[in-house]
Amino acid sequence: MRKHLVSRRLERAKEDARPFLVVGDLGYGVIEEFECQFPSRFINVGVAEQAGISFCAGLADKFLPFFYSIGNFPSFRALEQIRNDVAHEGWPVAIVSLGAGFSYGTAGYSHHAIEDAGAVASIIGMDVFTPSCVHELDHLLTLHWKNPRPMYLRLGSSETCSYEHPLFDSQYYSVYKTGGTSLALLVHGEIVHQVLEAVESIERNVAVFSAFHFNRLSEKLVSELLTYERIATIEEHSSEGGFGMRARASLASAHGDKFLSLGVDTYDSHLGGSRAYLLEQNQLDSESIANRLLGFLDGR
Amino acid sequence: MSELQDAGWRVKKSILEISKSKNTPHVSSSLSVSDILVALFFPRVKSPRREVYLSKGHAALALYATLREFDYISEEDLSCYSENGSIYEGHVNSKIPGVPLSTGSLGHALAFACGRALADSLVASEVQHWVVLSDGELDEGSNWESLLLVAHLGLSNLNIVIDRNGLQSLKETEKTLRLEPLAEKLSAFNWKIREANGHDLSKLRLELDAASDNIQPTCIVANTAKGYPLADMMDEGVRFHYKPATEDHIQRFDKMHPYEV
Repeated sequence: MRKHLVSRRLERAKEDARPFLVVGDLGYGVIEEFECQFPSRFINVGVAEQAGISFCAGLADKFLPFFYSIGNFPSFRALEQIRNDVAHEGWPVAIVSLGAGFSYGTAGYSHHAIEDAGAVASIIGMDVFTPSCVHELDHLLTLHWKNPRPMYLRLGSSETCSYEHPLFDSQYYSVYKTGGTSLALLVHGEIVHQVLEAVESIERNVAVFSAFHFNRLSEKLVSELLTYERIATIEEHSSEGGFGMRARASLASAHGDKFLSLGVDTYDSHLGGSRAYLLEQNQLDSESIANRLLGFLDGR
Repeated sequence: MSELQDAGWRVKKSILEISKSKNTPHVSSSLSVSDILVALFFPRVKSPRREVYLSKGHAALALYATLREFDYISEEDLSCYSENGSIYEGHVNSKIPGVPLSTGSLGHALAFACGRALADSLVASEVQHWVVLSDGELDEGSNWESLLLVAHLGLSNLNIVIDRNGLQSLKETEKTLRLEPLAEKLSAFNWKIREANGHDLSKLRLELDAASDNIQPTCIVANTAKGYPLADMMDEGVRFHYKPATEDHIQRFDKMHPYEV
């Protein structure tokens, strides 16, 4: 998807002065055309992901920067820069991580991106996406262009997509296969192709959804999934802190009478105060907890 | 005493009073850097606007007191420092007028300012970007990534001042992670290096103006004393990284002849 991404940015840059490509000394054979056509909107910051992310945040006042890197380099290496300078300041930087999952399999664990989405999605204000195909990627790029926000984009290796699958654009999912009501497969990322092969081999009537927003499921998707007897999630990412856990949380929240999760949900990065004050703001002081528990028990 | 020194001394007094009344730390760090900030914010005639990034965000009180001195914020705003629900937090907050970036974790501002400065140069903006770094903060690798990047891009609209007080959180910088020869290191990174007394406001101001005219990014190593001008704070700069100012400090400060230490 990297060639597709850069070619789309190139097209956009011809009609819009904002796209700016920043690379972390990567992109051989992919980024040269952009650099050649828009030299003033291309920078290789070198093997320097921490500076690169903060640098992009600085650019974002006047441009739409894409930071192009691979695997864990733009995430784990620069996690605090993503948190402090991009997410909490709200700068619309698109951080592109190539090689989602095991795309760089033979390169070893340094290049296996199987924990990055969970880490980045834990940052308030960071949306994480893993498109299953170039159609979903196109959709995300259009959304980012229309409504620029901080975004972490994980890309796999396929450059084309032969599947016709309706995409519910405002809901971050597409339907690869419909079928029956017994089982819905909820897939995150390019592994959807392995899932479709598996479904074909078992000869059962199951539905296959691609949910490319890692953080949470949309309401429409949740309501659709709840019409199935069983739901399975499949992802090329660690199950611990992965898409499956987040999907289950989205589904559980639809059952407000059975599940309650209390946590920091109304955090304002730019308002300070004592711990007691901040707990109260998030309804995590003892009185608020008690009231919320009573409300839960009494079905309020 | 010059108008510039008047302003600098008032800012120091404000730092002491607020640290005491709010019982907040980092008073020695704030006194170390306040003259640099005053020199940067002091109004100039017919000069491009300056964007100032305080990378050592724990010295927020010095920045807020300086912003008050030059009317970016009101007295009422400043009185909210460290209060519940206030944007005037213990570390620098970008929601405050005159503050381009929140800081608090070290080693972030230079790269951010580099992005801002490059963007401005591409749209022919005349804004000058100034990043104030602490010396202890230079332990962060991200700063050295950024020093390379700024020099490589040859940004003439970005300069830095290093608050070289020689101390960091636990001990002297040279006993923690040796920085010297600092000027030579920075010079080898293709920065133009200037040195100045970080508490001599008029000379600092001249250095800032000279750096703004350079075509090469300039680093001013401003030699400072943590806690200046109070003797016990300068002697125990590390301790007052953690302790607030006291009434005794304020009384002694009031009896001093400004900038004669």
